[in-house]
Amino acid sequence: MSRHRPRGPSWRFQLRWLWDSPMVLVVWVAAFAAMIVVARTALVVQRAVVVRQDAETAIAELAAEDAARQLAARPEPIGSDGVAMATAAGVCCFVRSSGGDRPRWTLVLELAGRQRRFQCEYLPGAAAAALARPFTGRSATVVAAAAAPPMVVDEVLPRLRPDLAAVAVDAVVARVARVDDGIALLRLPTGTERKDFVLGSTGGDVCRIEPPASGVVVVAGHLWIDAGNKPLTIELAQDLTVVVHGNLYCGRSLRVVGPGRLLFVTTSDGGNAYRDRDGNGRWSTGDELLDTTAALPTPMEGAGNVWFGLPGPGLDAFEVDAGVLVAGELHLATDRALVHGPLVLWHGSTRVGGRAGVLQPTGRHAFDVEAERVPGFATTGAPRAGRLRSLEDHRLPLVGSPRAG
Amino acid sequence: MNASGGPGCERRAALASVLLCAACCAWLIADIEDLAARTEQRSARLAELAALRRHGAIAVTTALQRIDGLFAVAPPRPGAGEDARLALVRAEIER
Repeated sequence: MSRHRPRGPSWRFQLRWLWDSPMVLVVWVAAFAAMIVVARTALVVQRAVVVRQDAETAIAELAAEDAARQLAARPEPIGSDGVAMATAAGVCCFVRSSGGDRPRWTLVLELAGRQRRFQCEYLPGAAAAALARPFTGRSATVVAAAAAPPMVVDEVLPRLRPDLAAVAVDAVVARVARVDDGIALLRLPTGTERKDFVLGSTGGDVCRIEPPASGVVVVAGHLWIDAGNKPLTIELAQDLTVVVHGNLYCGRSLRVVGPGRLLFVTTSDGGNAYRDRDGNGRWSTGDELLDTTAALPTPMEGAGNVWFGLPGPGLDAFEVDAGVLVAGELHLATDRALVHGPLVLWHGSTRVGGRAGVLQPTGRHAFDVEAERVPGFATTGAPRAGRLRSLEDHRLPLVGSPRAG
Repeated sequence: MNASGGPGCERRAALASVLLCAACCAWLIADIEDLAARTEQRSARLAELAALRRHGAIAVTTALQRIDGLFAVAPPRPGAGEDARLALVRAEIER
């Protein structure tokens, strides 16, 4: 018994039917066209809305910037109740100050039915331009090997704030470095005369640093980044300036992760620096004192010097995710040194241990000195508002506005 | 098959409908594409202004005027600053 299925009209018949009565086709074509138009319209309108929101955000930023600029120029401080400012955008901006030592302004304004909040820091002035450049030195600075990019000559080099002695507190230093009486004897034949510190509050290849509120730590002695197989990684949540009243010895590369930037500043306070021409890490015949009025360096290992690669073994390649400001001499016991923060040399660099000593400052972590605070450094120029930061993630309820219902 | 009805007449009507539909679509698409082009132009100008502002090459008031020329931004509601002040005070109390 065969199963019989009823057969529908043939495809020839269907085509013929569509051709003879094409209104169905027309409806299909019209619906398809309408769909395309609607889809394209939706896309274009969506994009227009986004661009309009971008414009509103730009206006809000400009209004907040205008209010902050007006405030920076105001002689009288902001009271505890805050102050309302009229801006060039025609929007009223309410500003509140907080922060004590490091005043911050919170700016609130409403535009196009949406409330926007910004925050910026009050800056007493601008830090030296050298902190915004990859590589700076003075006209007398002598660099051992050609550096790329070349050094910019500027006689106005960054100056530390004079009140920094107050932050040289042991508890604060302990956040950044630990005392190690043996490291100098391990790495130098005769040790050092000053106290030695090792970077990192704990040992190992990774350590977290919690900078103090001031963003400055003063190390009263030499600071070591001890040798190791892997780079030392520092987790840093905010900008930190480490002032070293002694030498900085870098035995391996240094990586900095997190939003903070790191600056090392050496000073020759209470001592003097010299060019260690033979690279043995101590004063010996043939070395050259940078302070020509002194007969012998104090301490014997000098102060204010920086070593990329330790005296003796050195390093093939060295990379540092920090700025380095060298009051004494930069000793290059490495073939290639990559410096990602601002590099500032007061005197110059010397190649030691037969190394090529090629400097490559990249300026990747340079500061915007006009709009950013550089911890520990003196400023010049008029007070100003720092860089604006949007606080969009912390939206406030719209009190009293029609949307609040 | 004559002018009073039948498949020939329907085909002509269909053709006319298709042509009308195509014309409408073309007109709409042209309008939409015009809006899209203007939007992209505004976006590019806005990015350009932002770059100029970042480098401090343009004053706040000039930047505002230029944005105002690009978009007709609605004027702020009177009392908006007062709302902001109240909101800030309330948020601080809640914190």
